[in-house]
Amino acid sequence: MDWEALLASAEGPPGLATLRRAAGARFLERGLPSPRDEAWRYTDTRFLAQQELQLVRPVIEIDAPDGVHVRPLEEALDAAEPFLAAEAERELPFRLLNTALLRDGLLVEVEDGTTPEKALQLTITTTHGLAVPRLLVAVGENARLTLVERYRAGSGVCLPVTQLSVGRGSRVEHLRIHYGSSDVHIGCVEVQQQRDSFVASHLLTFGGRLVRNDLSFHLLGSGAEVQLNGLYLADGKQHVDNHTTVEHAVPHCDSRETYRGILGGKASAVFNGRVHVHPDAQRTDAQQSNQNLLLTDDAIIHTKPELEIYADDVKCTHGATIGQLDREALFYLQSRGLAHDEARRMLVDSFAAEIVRRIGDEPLRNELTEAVVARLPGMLAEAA
Amino acid sequence: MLEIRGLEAGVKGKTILKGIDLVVNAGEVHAIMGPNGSGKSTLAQVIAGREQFVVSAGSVKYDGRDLLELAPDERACAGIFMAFQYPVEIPGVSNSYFLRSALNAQRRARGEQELDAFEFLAFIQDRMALLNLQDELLNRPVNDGFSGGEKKRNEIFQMAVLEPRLAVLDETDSGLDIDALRVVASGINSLRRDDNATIVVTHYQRLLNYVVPDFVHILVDGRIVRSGDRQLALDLEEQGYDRIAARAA
Repeated sequence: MDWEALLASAEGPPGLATLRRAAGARFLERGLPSPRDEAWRYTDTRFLAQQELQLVRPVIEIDAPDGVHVRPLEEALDAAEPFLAAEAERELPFRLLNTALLRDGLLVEVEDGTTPEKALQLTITTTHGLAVPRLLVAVGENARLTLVERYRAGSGVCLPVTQLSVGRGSRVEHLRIHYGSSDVHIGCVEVQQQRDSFVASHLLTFGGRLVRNDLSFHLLGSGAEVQLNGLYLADGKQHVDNHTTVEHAVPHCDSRETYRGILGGKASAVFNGRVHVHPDAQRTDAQQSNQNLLLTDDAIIHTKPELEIYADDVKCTHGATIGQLDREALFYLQSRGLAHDEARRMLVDSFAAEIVRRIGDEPLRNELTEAVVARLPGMLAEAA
Repeated sequence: MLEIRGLEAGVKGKTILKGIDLVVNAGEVHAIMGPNGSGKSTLAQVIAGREQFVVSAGSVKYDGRDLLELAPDERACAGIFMAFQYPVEIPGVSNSYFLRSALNAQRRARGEQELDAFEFLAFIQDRMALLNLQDELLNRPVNDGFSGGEKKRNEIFQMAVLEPRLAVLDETDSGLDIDALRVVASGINSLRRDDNATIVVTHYQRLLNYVVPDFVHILVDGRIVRSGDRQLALDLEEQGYDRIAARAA
């Protein structure tokens, strides 16, 4: 893969040329991550260097409710400026690459006090090549938004970056759903929360050849609260890596993180949950849990909590579990007449449902419930 | 209905049941009593089909069929029900969804029409009243956060809905206060019929004041050392397991 040639030939809005060049130069200098890099220890992306990737423009279907303004990035460069100002100095290589190739961006704005009745739904389809969608979302004060990013991918490489800014007193429910198969999906979500804001983040991954998500939540105003819910399902030789970071920068903020994984076949997964409590962030309440269900002996999970606490008056808890299906529960269900397969499906389904039921929007909750139901039989048959 | 001959069974190479003979006919209530560790619960679980227990000798026939050949769910569909000593908590699965799935699995096996959610609700109404269960218990996850008494009532409620031919109640009285015991016992009694049978496994005589057995068997160290009628349970309470067992030996 000749990255230099790719960067040189890529087209984009003239107003972003300087930014693109700077990000491109930094990407070339740093290169793809190596497994020696702690954050990429279990996720090897070097095979990308062996591929000849063509830059493609993703197909983005937009369903925007009243009260939500969506504009192409090139028509909204001024409004995008606060999001993009520091993008050429980022650490994550694939985020830099997204910036270096920036073209298909959307800017979403929800004005102060606006409470749209329905969700903003974006469905991004990629079938081949390299796609770098970018979503910038500015939610004003005392507003509401339900935002869905739905990625459908057969193969190819998608490097989506989403930046979300949530104003004082606003409430946002954000779903990032990835219906993958043999694709590569390396995504990034960055959320900035002001005072008394609430964000429920749901990351739902249904597999892919290689999936990596880096999510960071910056609690910048007191009273801000974030819920991080994650569900990842993988089988075959799929690999899913979720890295989350919560920055407790100020006092009196809460974070609740619950990530669950179901792994079959020879799938592998990584959960790395970092919670950073800054020196001033007294009265922080941070909870984290990561639970994994392994359906086969060959499935692998690497789970790691990473707590950095520099304040003394805080509540921080974390816990991780790795297990098989509960035999007691299986026998209990069978003893009532449910066949072994049906009992297994019910237990695995209920494990996933604990995450899905946290989705507030009912139609979306139903969509995900069905997606889990549709995905499980194959995973269970393979594991049987 | 149930015919157990020379049954030996154990777990991980340790023999717990050392030759059990027991015949249970339709319409009968049998009580199995014994001290802790005598094998009462093992017997119940072997009948229900728990795979951890390995049968090394003997036979169990149910309506003339080899019960030991059947998987736990096949036994349930054939009409066998065990009320668990420690009902399992299953977070994330609602009680009503679980029970409807189980009932429909059994109905399918019998060639009967499945019940939809509305038909199911109508079907269970009077059974809930029988066990004094509140509606909200239906929507809660199976046994999750239930009190000890709620769990036991939920077991008998399941029994009332599934209408087994042979019910095995494993220490259903343990952990119940006297009011809950009455509710559970009257539930069990109202389900007694000429065409079904019940095996009550218990440590104490107490439950048998309410659920009156036709036969009482004393199990000590994996063997039935004495069998008799209800009077045997009363003698046992007065004299204790040691003397009854000693007299049998």
